[in-house]
Amino acid sequence: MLHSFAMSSAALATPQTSDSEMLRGFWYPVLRSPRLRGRKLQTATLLGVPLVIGCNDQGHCFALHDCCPHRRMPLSFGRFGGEAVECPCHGWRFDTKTGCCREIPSLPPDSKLKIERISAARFPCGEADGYVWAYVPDPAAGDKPPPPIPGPVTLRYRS
Amino acid sequence: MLLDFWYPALRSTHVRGRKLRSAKLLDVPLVIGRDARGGTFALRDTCPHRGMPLSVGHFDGEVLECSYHGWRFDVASGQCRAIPSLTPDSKLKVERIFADHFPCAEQDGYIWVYVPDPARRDAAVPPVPRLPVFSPRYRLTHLSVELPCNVDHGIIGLMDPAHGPFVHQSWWWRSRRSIHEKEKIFEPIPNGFRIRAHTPSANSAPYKLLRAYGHPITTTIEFVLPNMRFEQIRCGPHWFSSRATVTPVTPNHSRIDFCAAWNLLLWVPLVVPIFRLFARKFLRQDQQTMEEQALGLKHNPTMMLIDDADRPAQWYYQLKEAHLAAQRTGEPMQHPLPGPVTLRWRS
Repeated sequence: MLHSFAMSSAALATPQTSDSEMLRGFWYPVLRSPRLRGRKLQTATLLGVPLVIGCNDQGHCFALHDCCPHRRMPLSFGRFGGEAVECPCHGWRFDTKTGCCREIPSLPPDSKLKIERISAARFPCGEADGYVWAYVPDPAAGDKPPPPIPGPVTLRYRS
Repeated sequence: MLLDFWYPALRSTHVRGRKLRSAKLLDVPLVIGRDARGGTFALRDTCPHRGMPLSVGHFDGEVLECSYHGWRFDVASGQCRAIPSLTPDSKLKVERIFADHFPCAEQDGYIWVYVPDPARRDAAVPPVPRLPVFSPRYRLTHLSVELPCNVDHGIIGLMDPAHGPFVHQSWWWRSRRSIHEKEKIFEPIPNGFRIRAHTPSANSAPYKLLRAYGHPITTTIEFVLPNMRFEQIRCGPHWFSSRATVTPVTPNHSRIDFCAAWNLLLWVPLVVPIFRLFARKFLRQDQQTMEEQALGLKHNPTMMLIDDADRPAQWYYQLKEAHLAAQRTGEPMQHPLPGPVTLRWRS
């Protein structure tokens, strides 16, 4: 008994990965695919980043930072019309393909604010093997396109 | 959180007889009660001896006794009157021991507590804020909601002209379709700013109701530091006056206290419960929004304040900054609004 206790404390002593050491530049599964239905928005947290995940009218899934850049309202509480997500606070609308802001309803027509420069961070997103995957880019890697989503691993062996 | 201001701590009706109540303002725990003459008092809810909350002690209408070692404090001054464990020949000067005592007053159905800056404890205490009323007979009602966020977010929400059509969407108030362009003149007032008296927005049912009186309708909205939004609607001899305060309880928790008075429809039965029904729904919508927003702010507390619709939020931060600078330097406060400013937005 005592021995097994000592074993488990040794296992606990293995260095843990801290937030800053979580590996970026990889695909991670975030949700099971069947959970993405219709225009329902789902949430997930990946490497400490809150995500809003959905599927647009063309059937493509998307993942955006679940945080309106205006007042930090989670976009997952908002409305989704199949193409853009609308923040429930002030109705800012974000294109789910690009994350770019499309509309700020409070702006008068002659406003000079460049809304297309405002965006909710968009994460590459795809479906494979019954999962929705999101890619968390490594900021150090610049604009390098993400690698393909990892496929199923086939192990070949003899016995 | 701004010191040297009055804050509403509790509803008057919550403090009865010799019952002690605890409250928290600006992270300061308070024990609040009424003395034998019915006057209110507020002490720090901590015995200076061992930190025991005094609110669990015994109170006889004049002296509050700590439940731990029986130290007795005069509630009118906080001064220690007796320490039972001392022998008669003890040289300890008990009258030099105090439980922190705060100015306390009742107004508009609230017990207000003045939270002074410890560095300026001897400075004069200003009068307690009052809800403006305009006739001897009126109805008065109170509502409050808790917010899981810092007081600044609550206040910004209060002064935000653009959230109405989204957060308060309902048939009797606003909808997306009712959005139209607005232009209002804001002017500086001491410690705050005011939306100059104007004809209220045509896109809401309550204003349509008032139009039936046949008098011109004007509305004035003011924000005053540290946390007050006043709104007055005048329609000939009829009036409606409300005040919302966002009170900092702790750095991550605040509370909206809303009170409203009016002399409209005094003869109509059930007008108060009906008004409360709508007002509560309205405040619940704000509360829900702030509960949701708090989840996002946890990840990233920085905000983007844009254009005219967010200008009042920017002024709030600037007013706060200017107030603190004036306190630091002793110079008069530099008001962020040099004069009247016209803001335009759609809501």
